[in-house]
Formats: sequence, structure tokens, C-alpha cells
Amino acid sequence: MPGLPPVQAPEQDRTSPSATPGRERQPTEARTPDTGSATLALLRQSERATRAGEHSEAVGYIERAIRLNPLQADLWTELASLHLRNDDLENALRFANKAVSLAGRRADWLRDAWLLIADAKQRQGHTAQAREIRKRWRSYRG
Amino acid sequence: MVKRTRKNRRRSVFRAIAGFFLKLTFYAGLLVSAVAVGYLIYLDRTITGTFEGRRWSVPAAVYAEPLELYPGAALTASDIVTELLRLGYQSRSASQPGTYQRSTNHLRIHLRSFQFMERTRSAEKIDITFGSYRIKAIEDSSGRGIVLIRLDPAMIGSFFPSHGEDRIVLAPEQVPDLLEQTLKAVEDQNFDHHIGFDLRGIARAFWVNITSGELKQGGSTLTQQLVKSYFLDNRRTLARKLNELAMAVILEARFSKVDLLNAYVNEIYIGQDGNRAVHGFGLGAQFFYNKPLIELNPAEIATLVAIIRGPSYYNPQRNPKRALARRNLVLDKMLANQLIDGITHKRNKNSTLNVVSGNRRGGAYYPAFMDLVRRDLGHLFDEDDLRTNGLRIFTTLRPRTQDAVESGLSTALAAIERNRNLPPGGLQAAVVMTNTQTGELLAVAGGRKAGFDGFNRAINARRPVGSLLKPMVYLTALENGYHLASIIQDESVLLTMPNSDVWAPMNFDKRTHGPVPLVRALGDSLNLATVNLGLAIGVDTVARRIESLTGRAPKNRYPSLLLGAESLTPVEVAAIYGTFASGGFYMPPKAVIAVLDERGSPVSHHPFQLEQRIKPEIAQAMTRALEVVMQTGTGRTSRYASSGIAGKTGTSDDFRDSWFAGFDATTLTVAWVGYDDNSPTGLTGSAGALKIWDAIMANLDLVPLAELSGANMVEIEYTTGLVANAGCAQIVSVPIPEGSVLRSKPGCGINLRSLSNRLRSWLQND
Repeated sequence: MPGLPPVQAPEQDRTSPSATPGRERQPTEARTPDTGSATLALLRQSERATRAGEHSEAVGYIERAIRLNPLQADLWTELASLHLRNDDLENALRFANKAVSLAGRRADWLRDAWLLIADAKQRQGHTAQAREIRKRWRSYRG
Repeated sequence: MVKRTRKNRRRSVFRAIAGFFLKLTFYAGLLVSAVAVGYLIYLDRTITGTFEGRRWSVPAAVYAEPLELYPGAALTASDIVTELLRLGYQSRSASQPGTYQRSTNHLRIHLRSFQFMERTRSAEKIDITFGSYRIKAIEDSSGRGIVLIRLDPAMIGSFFPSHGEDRIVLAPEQVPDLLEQTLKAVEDQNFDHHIGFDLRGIARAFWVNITSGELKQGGSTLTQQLVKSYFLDNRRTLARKLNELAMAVILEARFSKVDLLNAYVNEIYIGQDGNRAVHGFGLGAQFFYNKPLIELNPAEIATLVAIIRGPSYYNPQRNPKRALARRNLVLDKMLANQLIDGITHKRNKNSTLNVVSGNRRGGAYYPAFMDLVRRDLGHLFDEDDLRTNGLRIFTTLRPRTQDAVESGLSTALAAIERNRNLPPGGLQAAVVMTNTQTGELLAVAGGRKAGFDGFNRAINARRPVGSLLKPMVYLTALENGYHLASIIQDESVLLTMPNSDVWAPMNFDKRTHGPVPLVRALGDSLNLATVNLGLAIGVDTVARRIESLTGRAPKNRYPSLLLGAESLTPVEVAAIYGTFASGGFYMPPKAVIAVLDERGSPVSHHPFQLEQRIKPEIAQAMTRALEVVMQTGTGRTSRYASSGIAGKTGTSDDFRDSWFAGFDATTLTVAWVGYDDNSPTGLTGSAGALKIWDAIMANLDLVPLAELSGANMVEIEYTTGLVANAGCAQIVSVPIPEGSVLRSKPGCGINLRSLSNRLRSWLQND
């Protein structure tokens, strides 16, 4: 990431589900948008762009979905997965960790994000770490 | 014989003299011709170069984030109409692009075509129905459901050259035929036939101008006016006139009539907006009517044609009567030339001028935000690229949020000045608002007059932040073995500095509070407890941590740094608090999403960038502590104190700077209030900047932070840090790391064993 100041805190590298307290969603407010179908449409467009080999465009669609609902963890996992597919392991890990931090107690969101972290770790050559994460999270149901 | 000889001699002398003069004339003629040809070549190069250069010199256009429409969106018909009006849509039958029709619970919009980042959307009609406070359904013209569609984005500015000329360049097919025909009818009736100048036109203009009551005419052809416009020379000298004429003839010889008329439409000066000169009918239409040229009606076209004869004299805002009178003469000319029929003529002549006013017309300008766009693109494009290459820049600015920021800022400052008897209009302020999860800048105000292109305090005002920096001390403490219930001493500090000065800080209330938990020390912004904590961790450690989140090492390396004796800009403060607000992810605040070239191909993408710089559990503890600041501490006077928000106030020495940084789940706002000359305002952070935040949030939907839950949440007494419950103390709930040592408050009936098991902590009776 060019142009950023030097890092002091180490990259997040947790493997334990109990390390952080979860945040639970507040009850739906009258003015809270329902973005479900809109973000789904954008995910589909992103998939189409990926199939056409248009990585930047695919990223653009997911980012647009995230702007609609930046707190929806699975969208960040999708972004991580695009970076993983593009061999950008560093960004894949960053966005997957972001997904974990937003997932709260949603088992499916947590599991998907952690399994993506495992894939990225595996590709980085951290096989044992990847194995350990998969073992913990593959069948996680909350 | 003698006679003849004399005669011959006289003849030969005469011949010699004549020959000499003949030669002289010949060489002089040759010289004059050479100079004339040289001069013509010079003129040709000058005018052709200028013509070609201007033709393709298009300032970069900058767009805001478009409004997304989808079933389920929390938008009412009024919300969307506000946005449509910003884009210059007209309330009509939705029969042509740029119009809409509203009825109960229903909105029909005829969207304009627009080239977005990834594709061009053609003009199309959509029907929106509304449920309670949200969009219920969107359909296209054939009744098919639409899951997601965008309005066109607002154009928020352009990078025009330093000499101030701004324009939107249009291709011939984007120019209404009525405009072209009217221009010819009014300005140059023989345009299609002349060769750059028109003797008949000059004669006619002369005749018309000496007989009063008619539309005043100039003798210059459109081509001559174009030349004149290029060189901005109003001297009425013969040499200039001849130059102008020669250049007009050259242009006519070199370029087609279509090209020349198109250049005229794009070039002609039409108005002034501060230091920005509005050129061409494309920008003129945006500037005076806030819509594309193609959507203007005959009266509006006539007004623009009327203005160009004297942009200041016929300025429709300053001289509406003159402008209206001339517009009507232009409409008469349209009728006389059968460009419009009698009914259209009558209807348009009865209409008012209807030009838009205010500083947000025609490519509304957000100078403070534009500075950040320039900063983001500085390493990719030079100024020349931005000014001439026709780039299209898509940005993160949300006009609705920007409006909320500007109106909140101005309401709050006026109220503060009124309530505190401060001279009205003297206080200055800056606001930066970002998306907490993406780091994107949503709104920026660089001063009290947000639309005014002046000193941008959001980026350039580096002012002491006071207690706004204290969370950095607490962050460093949490990363070094402390937790929010750890006890620190709020006791006097007396330090001798290297220059032998004695530093003896005091609390705001001039008292000491003894042992206090971290959460209260930050909540009540206790100076002495903070200094003691910071000294225990080390000033250098705190300084390094500040550098890691701002990218800039603090200048102050003395203990006063711990109390915020350090100057930062609002944007730098946003980088620090943005990292707390995002759960520990550092994101440099960014303004640009993508840049396209003039053909619509992507030139640069600016995807999300983030990097974890605070561990998640520490970031959550920080956010919780900042929530307590709002609920119980110095932020409690906010009307949203208990609405699930986190924040911190800051006040510099002698009340010179009043700061607030606060966030809900999706937006972070940093506000600063003070005087430009650095004189004291008498305002604390909560009496100044916090009021601005309150006023801004009154105009926006607040998204509360999610409540923390989980096994490690512990209720402690706010004042003592002892484990307690609501029945026996004023409590706050804070996350406590595993293995921490806690004490419980006697008489609260805390079940030590179960709590110890849950926390895996050591719990002791106090």
C-alpha cells in the first residue's frame, strides 16, 4: 500500500473465535435501508465482470455494494475473495479480517471470512496455520 | 548632333533614375511582400494553433457520488425530488430526459443518459412507488421491476486553467439546432456564405444601429467574434481590426463552417463567477439554468444569445430588465426567421427569465472538497492534465451530506455567537466527514462560507488539538497491559523541563480526584490522570503511536504532548479517529473513486485501502471508552449522547480552539471552531464544535453503534472502577481482557465465583 505511513501494530492474525467480544445488531430503525436485493444484483454484476476478466470493474461493483451497506460483513469477504483470485494475498487478508471484525456473531459470515483467511494463508505458505483455521471454522455453526 | 547627344544624355540619366526607382520599388515591393507573407504565416500559425488548442482543451469534470435508488432504500419522494432539483430536472410530464412528474406515493422520472464509470446508461423512464419512508418498487417503462438504478451524479466542479476559463465542450450534435440558427439570425445572417468578414453585414449593422428601436447589431461576423474571444483584446485600433479580419479569413479558409460554429458555441464568454470565467453555451446553460444545453426551451436559448452581446450589461441576475428586453428581441428574431411558430413565440415571451441563483449553480462548486480531489490525484496527473485533457473524475462526495454539513455548521455557529454575545460572523469552522468503514470523504467544509474558495481549514489549518489527542495516550496504555478498569492516579504533577521551566498542569476543575479507572479519566478528560498514565508508558511511545496513525511525527516531544499540545489539521484528526471508528483499520481519507479519459476509458482506479493498525479488541475497547465519554463524560451535553455514538471533545489553551471528533456506525465527523487570528473564543470543545456536530446530525440519519456484548463485558462503577451493578452504583459496562485483576464493590452482591469463571480473571473483594 504505497503512500501509507509505516505500520506499528502488527497485522491482525487471530485464529481464535473467542478473542473478541461480538457486537450485536440493534433493532431495525425506521430509516434503516433494506439493501438486500440491490447488493445481490451488484454481486451478480461483479461475478459477470470477473468471468469477463475485468478485475477492476468487478471490484468496483463490490465497492458500490459496500457503500450501500458498509456494515455487511459478507460483502467485505467478497472483496477479499476478488483479491485472492487476483493473487493479491495481502489485500485478501486485510479485507477478510475486516469482514471478521464486522461479522459480530453471524456464524456464516464468520466462517466464510475465516475460511478465506485460511486459503490466503495457505497460498502464502503458512500451511499449518491454514490447517488450524480450517479445523476450527469449517463446521462452525455459532 | 550636339543637340541629339545632349538629348540622349538626358534620356539616359532619366532612364537611370527611372531604373533605379523601378528597382527600388521592385525590391521594396519584394520586401513588403516578404514581410506580409511572413506576417500572414505568423497569423496563420497563431490562429490555427489557438483554434486547434482550444478545441481540445477541456477542463476535467468532477462528479459527486450518484444517488442509488432501489426497493427498500430509505428515501421518500421529497428526498429524490431534492436531488432531481439539484441536477436541474424540471417538474413536467416526464416526456423528455431531465424531467419528472410527482403524484401521491409515486414519482416518474425521465433519466438523462450518462456515462458512468463502467458503462453508459441511456436516457430512460422509470416509475417509483413509495411505502412508508422508503422506496417500495421501481419499474421501467414496460413495467419490469428494477432492483437498482442510479440518478446521474451531480457535477461538482472542474479544473479550469489558471486564467480562469471554464467550459463544457459540446460536439456539434449536442448543440440544439435552434441555438445555431438563432445565433446566425441575430449575430451573423450571412454566416453560411461569407469568407470571414461580411461587407453587407457591416452596412446593415450600420443602418440598423442608426435607426433606433431595433435589435442592435454589430458588424463582426461570428468568425471575427471567435477570433476576438481567443485573444481577449478589446482595444479599438485599426491594426487590431485588420489582424482580426485576416485571422478570420484564415480560419474560414482552413476550417469548415460546422467546425467554426461549434468552436464559437464552446468558446464565447458568457458570464463571470468569482475568479471563474464561464465560457461557451454548454457551461452557460448549466450556469444560468442548471441543466444541459439540449434541454433548454426557446426562451432560455434566447436569453443566452441575448447575454453574449454584453455578459455584464445583460447579466440576467444583476440587470434582469435589460436581459428580458433583449431576450424578447431575440425571440422576435426567431419568429421573424420562422425558427419558432407564433404560439411558441407568445408562450415563451410571456415566461419569466427564470435563471437559477446562488453559488451552487451550474457545476456547483465545493472548493474544499476539490482541494482533496487535487491532493489525491497530485501524484498521477499534473495540473495541465487536469485542466486540458477532458478527464472525468468520479468522487466520494455526497451532496446530501455536504448540504447537511454546511447548513448544520452555519446554524450552529450563528446560535453560538448569539448565545454568547460574540461578534456575528467572526467565528470560523472546518468540518470533515468520512465513511467510517471505507475511509471515503463524504463532505468537507473548509470554512464558514463553504461554497467560497478561500483558505481551506480542513486541510491547511493546523491547530492545537487539546484533549482530542488524549485517546492516543489511552490507546497506547491499552496496548501496554492496561484495561479500562485499571486504576491510575489523578494527582498533581510537577515536572522540570530541560530549559529549567517547571510544568505543573491542572485539571479543568482545578481539583485532583485521586485513584480513578481509565474509563473515567478519559470520560471526564482528567489532565493529571492522563499525564501520569502517559509518563508511565513513556512520552516517546505515545508519540510513535500518534505517528503511526497520522503519518507525521509529533513536533512536541515533551510531556505536554500528552495533553494535546500538538497541532493537527482536521483531516489528520479524521485519520486517527477513523482508525478507532473502523474497528482498528487505518484508512487514509480518500476523495476519488476513478478517473476516465475523454473517451470514457479508465485511467486510474482508487479502490478501498485499509490496514489493521489497532488490534480489534483494543479498537473495541477504545470505541467503548469514547461511547462513555458521550454518555457520562464531557460529551454528555450532546442531544445524541445516549444514541449509540462515540466521541471526544478537545479545547486548546485559553479556549483558542474548540474541537470535537465523533462517530456513529457509519460516519465520522471532525469539527473545529476558532478564530483565524488565533484569539480566544471562550468555547470549550463541548460548547463549540460539539454543537456543530449536533446540528449536522439533526439533518442526517444516525446509525447507532452496535452494543458490545460477550463474556468479557463487565459492569464497573464509573467513579471507582470497582465491579458493581446498577442497584448499587453508577455503572458503565466495559470489555475486560482475560486474566485481568478486578475488585468488586462491597454491598453490591456480586457473585465472585461465577464472574471469575466467566472472565477467567482474578476477582477480589475490595
